[in-house]
Amino acid sequence: MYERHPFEKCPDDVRILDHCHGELPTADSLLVEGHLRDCEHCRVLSAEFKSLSSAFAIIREDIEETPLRQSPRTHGEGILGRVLKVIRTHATRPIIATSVGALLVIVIGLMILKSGDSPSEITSMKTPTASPGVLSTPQSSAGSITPPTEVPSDPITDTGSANSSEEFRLAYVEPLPEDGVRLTDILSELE
Amino acid sequence: MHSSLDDEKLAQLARGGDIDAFDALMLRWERKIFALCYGIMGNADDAQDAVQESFQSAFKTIRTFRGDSKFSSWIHRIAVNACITQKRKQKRLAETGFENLDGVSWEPIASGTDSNPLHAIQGKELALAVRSAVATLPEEIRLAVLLKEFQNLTFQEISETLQLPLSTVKSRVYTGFKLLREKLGGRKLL
Repeated sequence: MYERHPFEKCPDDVRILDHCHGELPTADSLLVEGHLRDCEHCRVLSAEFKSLSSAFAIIREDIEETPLRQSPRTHGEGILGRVLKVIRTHATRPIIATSVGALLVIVIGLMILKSGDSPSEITSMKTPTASPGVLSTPQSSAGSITPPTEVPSDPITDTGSANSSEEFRLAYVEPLPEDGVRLTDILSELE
Repeated sequence: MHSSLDDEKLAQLARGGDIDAFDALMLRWERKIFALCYGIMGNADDAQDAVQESFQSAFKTIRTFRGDSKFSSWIHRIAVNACITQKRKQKRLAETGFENLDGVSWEPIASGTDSNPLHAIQGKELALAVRSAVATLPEEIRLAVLLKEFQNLTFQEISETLQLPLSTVKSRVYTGFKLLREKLGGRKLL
C-alpha cells in the first residue's frame, strides 16, 4: 500500500489520468504535479497509467508498420484499389439507371400501343375449363393423402383408357387391403 | 496538390465530386483507420474488410459531412459503425483475442532516448500482455480505450465520435485502465 499525501486530499483518479494524457489546463496540471511530488500513492498510479500508454504506443507502432496484406479474398488488390473500383462503379450507376429507365419506358409504351390495336385478345381470355379425363377428387379415407386426379387423354393409349380408369379407381378409390385381396376381385370371381 | 490541403478542405472537394480529393483522404487515413479496426476486430483480415467498408460508406455519405465536426471525428464514427456492423454480421462475441500480426518482427524495439535493451524487452513483453488483456475488456470500454490510445484522440474528440457525454468517455477510459491494471496483476507496470 503506497502512502498518500500527508495533508492534501488526493485528486480523483480520472483527474490523474487526464494529467497523464496532457488534457488538464496548465494551472490544474501544475497543481497535480505538485501533489504527485509528495504523494507516493498518486505518483505510482500516474506511473502505471503512463506505462500502459507506452505499451499501447508500441502496439500501435507495430500495427501501423504492418504492410497491408493483399488478401486472397480480394484477388490481390489493395484496400484503396478496391474502394476506388466501387466508387467509380457507383459514379456510373446513375447513367446506367437512366438509360435502363428510358428503355423500359419505351418498351412499355410500345406494349400499350400494341395492346390497344387488338382489344379482342384481352377479352377472349376465359377461365380454363376442365380438360377431358379429369376425374373428380375421389373420396379417400380419413388421413390419407389424395393423389392428383387428372388423367391425361392420350390418343395412343386411349383404347386402354377404360382399363386405366379402372386401375385408377382400384388403386385410389378402393385401396388394397392388408391381405392383398380386393373385394371387387372376390366379387368378380364369384361372377 | 491535394497533399497540402487539410482534411476539411479535401472533404469539401470530395463533396463536390472530386474523386482525387477523396482518394487523398483515404491515403491519409488508411493506416490509422486500419489500426483502429484492428483493435476492434482483432485480426488483420477482418480489419481490412472493415476499412474497406468504412471508406465505401464514407464516400456514399460524404455529402452529409457539413464540417460542423472535425473530419477525424466523422471518419472515426464511420469506422466504428462499420466494425460494429461487421461484428454483428459475423455474430462474434465481444471477447475476441488479438492474433499475432503476420510479418511483424517482435524484436525489442529500442527507443531513441533509452539505450537499455532490458527496458526494450520489458516494453515488448508488457505490450504483449496488454494486447491480451485489452481483448478481454467489455466492448464499449475497449472501444473508448482504443480511440484514446490507438488514435490519440482527445476525450472531446472521442465524445464527438461516439456521441457520448464527455464524462462518460472519461469514465470508460479510466475504467479500462483500471481493469487493465487489475488484469495484469502481479506483472510490474513500472
